Amino acid sequence: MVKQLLIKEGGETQTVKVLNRIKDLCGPHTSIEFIHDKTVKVSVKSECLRKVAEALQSEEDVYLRTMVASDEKLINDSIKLYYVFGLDREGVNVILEVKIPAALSKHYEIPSISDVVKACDWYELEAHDLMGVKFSGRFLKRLVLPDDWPEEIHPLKKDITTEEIKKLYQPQVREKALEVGAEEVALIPVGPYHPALHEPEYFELYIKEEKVVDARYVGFMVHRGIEKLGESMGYDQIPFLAERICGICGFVHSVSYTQAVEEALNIEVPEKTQYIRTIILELERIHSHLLWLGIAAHLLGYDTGFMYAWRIREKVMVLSELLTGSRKTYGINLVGGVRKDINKEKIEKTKQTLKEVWKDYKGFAEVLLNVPQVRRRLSGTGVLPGGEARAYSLVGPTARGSGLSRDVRKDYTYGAYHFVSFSIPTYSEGDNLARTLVRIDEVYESINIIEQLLDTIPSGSEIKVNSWEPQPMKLGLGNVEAPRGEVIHLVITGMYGPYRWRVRSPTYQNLQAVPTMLRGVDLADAPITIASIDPCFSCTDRAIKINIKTGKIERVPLIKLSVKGGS
Amino acid sequence: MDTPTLILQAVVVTLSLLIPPLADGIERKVRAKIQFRVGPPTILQTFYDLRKLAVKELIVPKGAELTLTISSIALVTAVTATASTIWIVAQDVFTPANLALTVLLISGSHVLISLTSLTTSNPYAVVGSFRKILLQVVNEVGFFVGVLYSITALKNLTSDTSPQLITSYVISVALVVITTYVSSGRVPYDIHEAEPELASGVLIELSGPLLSIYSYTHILKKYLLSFITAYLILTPFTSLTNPAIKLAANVTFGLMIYLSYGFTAALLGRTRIDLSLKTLTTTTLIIISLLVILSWLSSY
Amino acid sequence: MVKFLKVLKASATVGTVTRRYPFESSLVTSEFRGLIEIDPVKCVGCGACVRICPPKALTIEVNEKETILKYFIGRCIFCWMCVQTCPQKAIKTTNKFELSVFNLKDVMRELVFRTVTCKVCGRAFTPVKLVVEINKRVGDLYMHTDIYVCPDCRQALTARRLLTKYLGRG
Repeated sequence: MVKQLLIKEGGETQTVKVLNRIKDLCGPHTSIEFIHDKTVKVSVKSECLRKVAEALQSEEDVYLRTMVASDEKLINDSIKLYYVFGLDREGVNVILEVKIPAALSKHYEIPSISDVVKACDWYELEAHDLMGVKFSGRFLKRLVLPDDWPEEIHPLKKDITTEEIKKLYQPQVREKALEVGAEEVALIPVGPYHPALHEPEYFELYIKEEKVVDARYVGFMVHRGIEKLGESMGYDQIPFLAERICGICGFVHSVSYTQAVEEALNIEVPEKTQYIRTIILELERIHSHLLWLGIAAHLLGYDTGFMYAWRIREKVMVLSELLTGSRKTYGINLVGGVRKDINKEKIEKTKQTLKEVWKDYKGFAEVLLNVPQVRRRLSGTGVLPGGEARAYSLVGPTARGSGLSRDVRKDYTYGAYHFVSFSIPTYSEGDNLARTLVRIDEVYESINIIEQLLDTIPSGSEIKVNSWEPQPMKLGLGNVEAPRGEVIHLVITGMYGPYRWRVRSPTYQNLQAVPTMLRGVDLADAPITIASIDPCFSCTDRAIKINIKTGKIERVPLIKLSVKGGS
Repeated sequence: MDTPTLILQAVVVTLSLLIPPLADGIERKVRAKIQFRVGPPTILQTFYDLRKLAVKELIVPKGAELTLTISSIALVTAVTATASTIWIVAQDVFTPANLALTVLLISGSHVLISLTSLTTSNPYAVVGSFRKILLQVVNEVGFFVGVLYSITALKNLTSDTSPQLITSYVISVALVVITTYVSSGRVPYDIHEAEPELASGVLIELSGPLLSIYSYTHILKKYLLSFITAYLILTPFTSLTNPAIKLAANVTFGLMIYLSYGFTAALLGRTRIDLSLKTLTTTTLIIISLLVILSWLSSY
Repeated sequence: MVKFLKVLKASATVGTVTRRYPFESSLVTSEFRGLIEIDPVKCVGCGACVRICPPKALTIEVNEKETILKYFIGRCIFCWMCVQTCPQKAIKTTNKFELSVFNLKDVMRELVFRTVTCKVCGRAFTPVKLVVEINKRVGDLYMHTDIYVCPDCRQALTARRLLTKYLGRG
């Protein structure tokens, strides 16, 4: 039946080919189960994981989307790893399920695949830190958790609650202050900070004569334990938490989450809901890209451009407020529907505003790209070749600036995107200019999409399902093309709220490529290059600390940038 | 010199020290207008800012006790440079000795202001200062040559109006305009302090009264450069004999040049040190060789 | 190449867009979700809002004498889920957003209710107003006396009644 579903005219599909290959590698009795239309779960023994990963990585247009470790000791006496591979061409997710018997989990080793699948590096480190999974064939170190975190306590395991964690570990500010003899405690945040976006991050750039020879990134300054917190909340409370993962593109997280739950529990949401979600998502993309363009202009010293972009953005913000009730963190999303309808009057107002925005924006884009310094400093800097982008499993405008036309709106379609026609701007140069142009073009596409949706939006007033019943241990995936790239949430359902909720933000994938971009650029171009992936550290730091291996270039550390503690 | 003239001079010089912050205030309003903003409440904002900084507590960067001394000397030098230049223009006594004094004072204040940041030995400030020094080395050459040539041309223009001389005058003034713009440290040439990876570059260790001194010195310098440019451009077009009116015209035109620099800066982005050096060196060399060729031609 | 000068045209036509807030009025649309206000007359202290509140800005505390519904504005995310949930429609919405205060107490709102004590064990368990409201809604459907029994005792009471009914006295 599986095969019948997937065979189209013209022979074997890629999915069938891949599944047959997995059967060849793991033996004929491998369990292959279609859990949803386009999601197939394959149980893989840890011995043949590497072989399967190699086979998948060698396929064209296949990449690792996310990896989730889940403590299912209470349910089926095991810890499970889910490796989600995406087959771009057919929009099919292949989930490799690897089981670790709970009793053996302390000593059981899973073969590492991070040398085969580059993107898996951080996922494995995260699973090691938060879930205590051991991987063989690679160097494991503490990354996510602070240095003074107690050994053998893995916060995402089910045998420890949020309350217990809070009691167990508190940053020792007061004690430290008393130790040094301070009478009153005043916590003064000193570094680390972003040279541009003012988010906590820490880059070490090694410089030789104003050229960056190497870069190192240490993140994870704002790990908030959101996934753990989410496990103690109800289904309808989490969208509000999810929206607060990111301050700029929060709606993508709440939509991803609700989609994941809806997929897991087979909830059919009304068509109008899909429309409203898609409209708001695109509106969010417009404001996010305008924000980024403004920041980029500011980084290049063109402050007039910064004000110009943000002036246009303000119209979009007010429009968002009109449609949702809030400028940001819209708070209109629930599992099974949305809370706010878009009526005739609002449709007209939106159309009119978008028309103004289009005109204004066109003028802005023309001005920005013709400022001599902006043009000169964007082109040819921070180059990321297409091959590297593919190897690192990059997503979003970063990938599309390097010639990869990866966009989950088309590849793994969701919401109301299948009702509209739009194109995916792709540039192959891979430099900062290419990434800027991708974003500039995408704003036009977004306005276009919203206008099409507003023309065909259903007139009914049904915007949410009446009721739905939770069922335990169902797995669902939700993905959204955020302004920064693909966001993917994986939910394993529980009775009152999710049993396991895994968030993967786009920066998590894209940040790995930044050191490659930075090598050889001028020091002055480092900020724009870092910013060119549109990094969101709050999203990323929700889960992991990243350490980029420094490589073997002989370097002269002339200055250490972003001196921690401001010495 | 009789007493009334002396008093008048004193008043003029004092006033001229108050004009630069006002010019800065107007520039900020103009920039705000281009950027769709209301901007500071009044054009007097720069005075308020300087005053507010000046009354904050003094924090001298650790291990850089010289900073305060050096920045004070820089301020004194800049004040002297402004006063003496305006005095020279008012008296219309542009002798080679006076010229040398003016240029020396201006360069002196440049060097001292760079030293202020260098003494803090903060890595950001050091990188910023070196960028500034690199740029200034090229720029100062152009400035010297430009001023020298245009002053000489001005002296001769009264008796000789050959096309060589006029061309020579025009391009030397152009060189002065370019180099004074670069010296003013506006976008695109604010690479020593405004690049985001430098935090605030040369300014990073300066705060309170120190920052106030630095900013005022910087504003004085910016104004002085526009004043000199105004003098060089204005002189051949005016036949004013009354020194007071002449000075007033020069001050007004200087203000206009100051604002037009600010206006230009609002339209551009920031350059990069290697790019700016390349552009500046090429332009300066081309203009200087042209000037040399022209004077060689006219000497035959 | 001089296309970047077009910004001047935009500046001239658009003019100034920033405002001298707070000296000029602020911009919020009619749809803006702002501060909530709980109507002390309508509210019965049932706690439905407390259960739905995503950031736990609303909390309820039951003690010997009284039930206290606390609203901490500092935690509120202005999602209005409580407004949607409230069975009494007791929560009023506003578009207020200027919420800074000098005193921490000013961001705390409290509603105090008298509490009913359990007829059986004497434990305080629910606001009087809630009991009255339930009485009004269910009318004769429910044994009036049971309303004054706390959930634990009611369980025991019901069990005893069933035993009595099916097994006879014993």
